[in-house]
Amino acid sequence: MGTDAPAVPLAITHYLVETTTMALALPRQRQRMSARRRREALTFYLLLSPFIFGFLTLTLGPMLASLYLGFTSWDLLTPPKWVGLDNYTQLFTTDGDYIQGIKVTLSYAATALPLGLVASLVLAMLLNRNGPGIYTFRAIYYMPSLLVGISVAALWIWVFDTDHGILNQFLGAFGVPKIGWLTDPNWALRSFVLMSLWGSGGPMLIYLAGLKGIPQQLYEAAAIDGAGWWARMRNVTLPMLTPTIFYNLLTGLIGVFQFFDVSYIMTQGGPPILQGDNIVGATRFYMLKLYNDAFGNHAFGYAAAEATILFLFILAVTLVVWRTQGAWVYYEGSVARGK
Amino acid sequence: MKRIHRLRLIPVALVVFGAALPTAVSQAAPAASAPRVHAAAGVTLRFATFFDPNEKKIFNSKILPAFQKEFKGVTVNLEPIPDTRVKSVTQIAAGTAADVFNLGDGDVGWYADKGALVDLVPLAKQQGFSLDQYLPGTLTIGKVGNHQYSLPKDYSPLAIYYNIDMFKAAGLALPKAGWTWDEFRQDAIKLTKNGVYGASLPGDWPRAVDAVIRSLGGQLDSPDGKKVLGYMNSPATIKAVQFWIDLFNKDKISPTPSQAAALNVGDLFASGKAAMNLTGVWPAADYKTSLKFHWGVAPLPTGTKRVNTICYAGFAVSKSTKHPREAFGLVKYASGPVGDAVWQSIGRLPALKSVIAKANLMKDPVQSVFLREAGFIDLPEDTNGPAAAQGVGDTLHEGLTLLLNTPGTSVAQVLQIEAKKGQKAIDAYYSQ
Repeated sequence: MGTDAPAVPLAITHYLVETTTMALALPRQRQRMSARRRREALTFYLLLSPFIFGFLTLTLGPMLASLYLGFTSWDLLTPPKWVGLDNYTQLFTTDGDYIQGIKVTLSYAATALPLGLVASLVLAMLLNRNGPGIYTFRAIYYMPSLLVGISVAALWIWVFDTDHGILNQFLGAFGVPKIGWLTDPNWALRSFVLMSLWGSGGPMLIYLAGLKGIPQQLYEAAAIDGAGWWARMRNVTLPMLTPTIFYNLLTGLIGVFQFFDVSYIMTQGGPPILQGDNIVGATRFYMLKLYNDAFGNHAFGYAAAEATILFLFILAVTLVVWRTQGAWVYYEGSVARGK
Repeated sequence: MKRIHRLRLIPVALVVFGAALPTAVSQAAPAASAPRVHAAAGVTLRFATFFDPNEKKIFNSKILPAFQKEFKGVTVNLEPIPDTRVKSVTQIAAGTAADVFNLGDGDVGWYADKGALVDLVPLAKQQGFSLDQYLPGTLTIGKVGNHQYSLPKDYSPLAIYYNIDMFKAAGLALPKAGWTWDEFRQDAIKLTKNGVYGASLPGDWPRAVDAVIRSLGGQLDSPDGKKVLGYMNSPATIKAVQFWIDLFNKDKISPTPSQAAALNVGDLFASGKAAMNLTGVWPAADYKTSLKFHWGVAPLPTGTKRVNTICYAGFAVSKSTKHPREAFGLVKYASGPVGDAVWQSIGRLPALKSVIAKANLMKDPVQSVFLREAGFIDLPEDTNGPAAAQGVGDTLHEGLTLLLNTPGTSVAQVLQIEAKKGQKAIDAYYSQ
């Protein structure tokens, strides 16, 4: 559910880096820039200035402030007090709920993300054909992804209702006993994973665009060579689709670690489980814990430390995935893989 | 000479008399009949509330005109706030807090401890507004030490609604003041039959369970609100919580909250699915008009002592207000005789003795029970101090939810864990 696309398209970032480098590091070359090139650069920065201003004041500024606040004890109403690494030490040594937040979020990410990637790819393949009513089907499968957050949570509360929910009534018709989807600690997290399929329409649409972009002559050549469905799939479709898979994986990763709103509405982190000498929430996601620490306990410095760790973790995972693309992502027109 | 001196004294006497006249008149006249008028043209107050549409309408039509009669020229802008944990806190931090705002019962201690609220006692004295006119119990939540930080908008202690027809059919005596938790349990067991529960109980609601625990001799935290360990896990508290949990998991006289939600019938008592209902005054107005069976209200049962609790919403003045006099004036009208009578007219329980007397509520079979129970209000332990909401309320809620959802779990073990968690939260707060 709810994946975030990168805030700045890569092309703009590339252009920014290029022009800034030129402007700062190569003064002689800059002097030799033609008037037309200077005008172009000026127009570029002028058009981009609302974003740059917003990014500096509303994103980068708060991020730096949050980084600092992570080293403080701050309740929002009185001045922050410097506590050094205390928040970070406490998180990893004495806060059982924090460790549970990491466990729950990683479990969810490890199941919901691959499941969502596969489900949306399968859907896209099923819908990548011509026939009567295909556009209607595509719209039907895509539309749920337009509904997000609270409205979806409210809907799924009814779907998962133990006694009156449509899911248990459906399963009951096959003799399956009632399941406490949101109240049974063994099922609550699985319910969220199941529910995450609701948002498959978004990635599906991107896969569909990727599938449409695969040149037909590749399939024709494969058919002439006698390739069957699986061979075409393995040697043509999947390799040609790897940039799309990579994009969906990356945006999915960033989104899945920030899962929050649905658990906040549907379970509030519960149901509680007795785990050794601690009681923890079966669906106490990392972001839910962070929110509760900030706005429930007014421990904004502590929550800022959690936010910093999450940011660094997502950044590290993203960079690792980014570095692996050379090994498995094929860009059309490149001489070798990953180039 | 003497005559001339006397003549000279006449203008002096006239001046003295003229100066003294207004004071003498004001002292002789009853304060209520001639309220002082404060000219404050150009002052605008921001009033952040969680009024529902009907309350907003009634505030604008009845309370605001009365306020503006005394505070001439003051404009009041109502601002909706969904809760007091997020929006008000961020507004205060940003220096954009409303002058007057609604405050929930769990937040007064924290806001006061952070210096975000104005002590209303001096302002009340300045404006001749006596806090003695309130029922003492209704001031407990808004009070920290000798300071009063919030005055009630509406409140309620808890009581037991009971279905008279079901009691009679089961051959049971009707509940009355002084009945015990054991009698309640025995009645509920006998009333649980044919798909009807003996009672509908708020299983995981810390505010209600706190009252039960204390009436049975337990305690959740120390009187100063700084100790949870040794209180929440004390033998008396464990025994009381065990009694409460057994009502659900052993006696099965009430559905647990998740079981009740699954029944999908809303109010179990109103729908005839429960013979008793432990709650506040809130459903009484609807019950009066909609219930087709005979019903009554009984005080909360007693254990080793008679204790009740309070659920509360109040009005507070922000420390950052530039107009404390006008801001308190607004609180005075929203909570005092004018406001209290208005809220009472839409079914709220009044906090002022004069409003109770004027509406003759001690003769009302429902409201009188709640008003008598207000005499037994003790500060809820999840509001006892700035960190009690987390240290007591959240931990007790988590423990109760676990115990109700997983029958057979050790109450002592759960309360031991939650007491440690609560103590940690409170220690963390005070070590800041």
